[in-house]
Amino acid sequence: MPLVKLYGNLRKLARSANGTGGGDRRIAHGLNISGDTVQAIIEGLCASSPELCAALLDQGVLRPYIRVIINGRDIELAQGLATPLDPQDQVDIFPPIAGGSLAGQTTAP
Amino acid sequence: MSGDSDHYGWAGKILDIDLTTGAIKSLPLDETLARLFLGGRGLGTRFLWDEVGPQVDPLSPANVLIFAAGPLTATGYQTSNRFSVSTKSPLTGTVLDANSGGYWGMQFKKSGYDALIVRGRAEQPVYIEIKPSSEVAVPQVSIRDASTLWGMRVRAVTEKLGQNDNRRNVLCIGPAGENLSRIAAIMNDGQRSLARGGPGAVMGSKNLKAIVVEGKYRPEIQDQELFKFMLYETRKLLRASPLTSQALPEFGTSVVMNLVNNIGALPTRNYQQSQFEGAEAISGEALTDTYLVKNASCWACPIGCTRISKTEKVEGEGPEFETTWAFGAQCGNDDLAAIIEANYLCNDLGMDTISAGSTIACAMELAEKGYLDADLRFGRADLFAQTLEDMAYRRGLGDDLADGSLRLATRYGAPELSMSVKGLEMPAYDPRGMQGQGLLYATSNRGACHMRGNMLGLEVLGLPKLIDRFQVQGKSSYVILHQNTSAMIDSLVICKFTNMGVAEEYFARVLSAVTGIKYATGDLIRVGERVYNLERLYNLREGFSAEDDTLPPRLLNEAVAEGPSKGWVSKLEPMLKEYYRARGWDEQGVPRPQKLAELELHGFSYPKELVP
Amino acid sequence: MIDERIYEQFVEIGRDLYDGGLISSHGGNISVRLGDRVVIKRRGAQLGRLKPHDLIETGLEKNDSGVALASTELLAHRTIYKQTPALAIVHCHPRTAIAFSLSRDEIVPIDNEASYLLKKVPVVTEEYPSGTPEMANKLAAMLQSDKIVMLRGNGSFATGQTLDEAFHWTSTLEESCQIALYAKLINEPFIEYRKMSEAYSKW
Repeated sequence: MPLVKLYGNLRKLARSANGTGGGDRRIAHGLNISGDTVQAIIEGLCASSPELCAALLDQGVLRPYIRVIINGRDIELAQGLATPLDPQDQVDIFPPIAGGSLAGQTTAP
Repeated sequence: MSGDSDHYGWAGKILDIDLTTGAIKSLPLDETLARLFLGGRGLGTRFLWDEVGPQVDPLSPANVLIFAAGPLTATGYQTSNRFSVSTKSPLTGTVLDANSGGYWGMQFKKSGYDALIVRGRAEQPVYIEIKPSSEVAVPQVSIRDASTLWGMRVRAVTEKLGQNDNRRNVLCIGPAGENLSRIAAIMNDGQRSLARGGPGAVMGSKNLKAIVVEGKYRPEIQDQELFKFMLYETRKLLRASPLTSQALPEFGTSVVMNLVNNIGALPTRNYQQSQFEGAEAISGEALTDTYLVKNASCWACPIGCTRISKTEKVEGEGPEFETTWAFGAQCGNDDLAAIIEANYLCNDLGMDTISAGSTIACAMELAEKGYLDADLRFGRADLFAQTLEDMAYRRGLGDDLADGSLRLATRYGAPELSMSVKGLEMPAYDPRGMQGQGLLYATSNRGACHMRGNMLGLEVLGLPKLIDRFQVQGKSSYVILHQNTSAMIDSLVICKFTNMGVAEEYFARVLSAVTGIKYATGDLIRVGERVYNLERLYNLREGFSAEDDTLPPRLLNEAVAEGPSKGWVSKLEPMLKEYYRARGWDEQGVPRPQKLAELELHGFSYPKELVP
Repeated sequence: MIDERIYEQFVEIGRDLYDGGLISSHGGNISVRLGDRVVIKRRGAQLGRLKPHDLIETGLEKNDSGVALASTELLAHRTIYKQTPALAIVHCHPRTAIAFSLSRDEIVPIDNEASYLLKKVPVVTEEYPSGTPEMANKLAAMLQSDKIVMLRGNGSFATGQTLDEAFHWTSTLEESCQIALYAKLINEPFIEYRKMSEAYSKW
């Protein structure tokens, strides 16, 4: 099963879903979630935690600023949510992260 | 209620202090220069062009320090607290500007000046004090004896001189600057820094220990209604962006650590690898979970990216991402407490954390490969404290490290092991994993720099859109735009994090509202382009050339061995050729007359005879 | 040789423009700046179905592509690149925006999204014959201040760092104009819901 790692504030959302409280280490090391596409993995995460789901998706579409990286490559450069996964892949999901310059605006608040 | 005074935004005055003669003068700020260069980095560079030429040794009395605020400083616009220093760098020999936040810049503007030029050298240690007099527009400026302060560390002297964030602010050097370490920083408000390129050494060479400011002047705003609207819009935008309202306040700048590591662009062990197995342990998440006490902010800033961290030994501001990387992955160290303590020490000694950490990493590699005989090895975080002290006081090996990695590596016979460009240590992104970043480092005017444009947004974060980090064609256009915009922001002087949520068109309108001078967005970015080109001319005049727009051989020739960037080197050459053409420069990287005319840089000649 | 990834961006945005009803089959044009080169659609090609040979790479200063390009298009695009910080341009025919441009000198949005993103969009008349330096200069001058402008009766010119950005402003403007049109049809008194909205026209 692909190894899924969450970062930033996504961890505490996953934490609360697992009800683990002090189980941060486990979350940091990653969760094994079954799925053969990124879409399937996201659905698996959604099933485990509605708060995590809300942070990741907006009406079924990945929210802006959320980055999904497979073995070091961003899915936007592959097939997005439809990108296929091998069982030994590592999937890293990042919440909004600031850095760089000229970020610009995207949508109205 | 619109003002009807003589000038808006700018205070309209420059303070000029000659430490050799003791002369203190107040001069008017030329309106044309103000319009073309704004303030901060722009104004500082423009003055530096006139003041300091190629024959000047940066540590001699003939070098100058130009502290500059901008037309927005102290108006209360979000992040209008920043200021900069311009000088010729003792580390690189290039034009240098460095900027800082906190409170000092705001207070300096409130003293009624746009800029302060310090020249000459005092015979004995002195400090400068600026206080209000009975006439708001005419402060009391004095040069005072600092013999009892000389030798004090930054926190101690800051407290001794009466630091009070909102009312009285201290800018100073620590032992590193006093001992002319070429990577010495100038510190303000105790823990903020004007760090890169060694401005602290210039200040030390002038026997200037500190500058204390208190002020009561308020900058005038021409269109109060529009200004209020801009404040409102900016507040809304910063709150709406998850970058400025969540990511930065909650996790600080180190929140990028894991991501940069994941894609295989986190330089490790002096750029020998591009992924660090200990990245998680030193990430923003780890800091938040362990040593973080709270966040903090500078004057007039709603973002709050500052970290306050506490270990068993120390409590203070920081560490930022670059610092964490420099003493972390770059040194093969995953002990976060050691990084926090190193940061604290650098701030107290007054040293640039990036250059310090990366110089130590260079020493580690030199030692491991047998060029240098020392205990230093990658991972030896237990040696940080002693090494940093030795550097600031120039003791033993510390004396060799005190002047940066290039001088160190050259001295020990392996200059190619200094991970620097034009002598300035490269920051935390491996150009082999981010092609655009490599071009940025190679062409940055003060040496390798990520704060003069940063391709992290485009190449990694997808801001505003993801451009493949391995794509080479067309990258130069983005790098140029980012460099120009950065220069503009440094000349307004506001914080680049505002730009995470607020587009440049807002800055143009704020500037217009404050000053009453109409700036279109394009005009404002052109200010940045103008400043950038002037810096380029300065360096050309100093004898730099296209040959210096390069990267260490490791990045050009040694492919990444493992990880997602495996097999890649930096493809600098085609990007550089495209870059020169796109900038309107010739094949030697010299700005063409047509470009200079377009930028109203009339009469700025560049030394043709230096170009082969 | 145009990088595959850049070609894909053109195909994507071109298709979005056509499918979104923002352009007729053969009209409009989009371009990007790569260093000192420009990549632009060939004359007569369809934005909704771009093929690799539909993209021409040419010089910023002069057309050295060996292909006859629509001079009307190319001059305007080149001038904008030389005079503004734009790295991408989208020119198309958003129908509702065009309709509004016929009777006013600026379009001021009333909906939330466009108020936030655009504030106000100037309308300029093409007094000079199409494809002249005068028209190109006027357009570039306006785009110094605003990221999207309307050419009365003709269409929109939007700039950005990427084609996505320029497209973003374009589709936001059209959406905004459609909303404004419906409001006109509904024809009931406007209830102001935005704070400090009187400042928009000063933008």
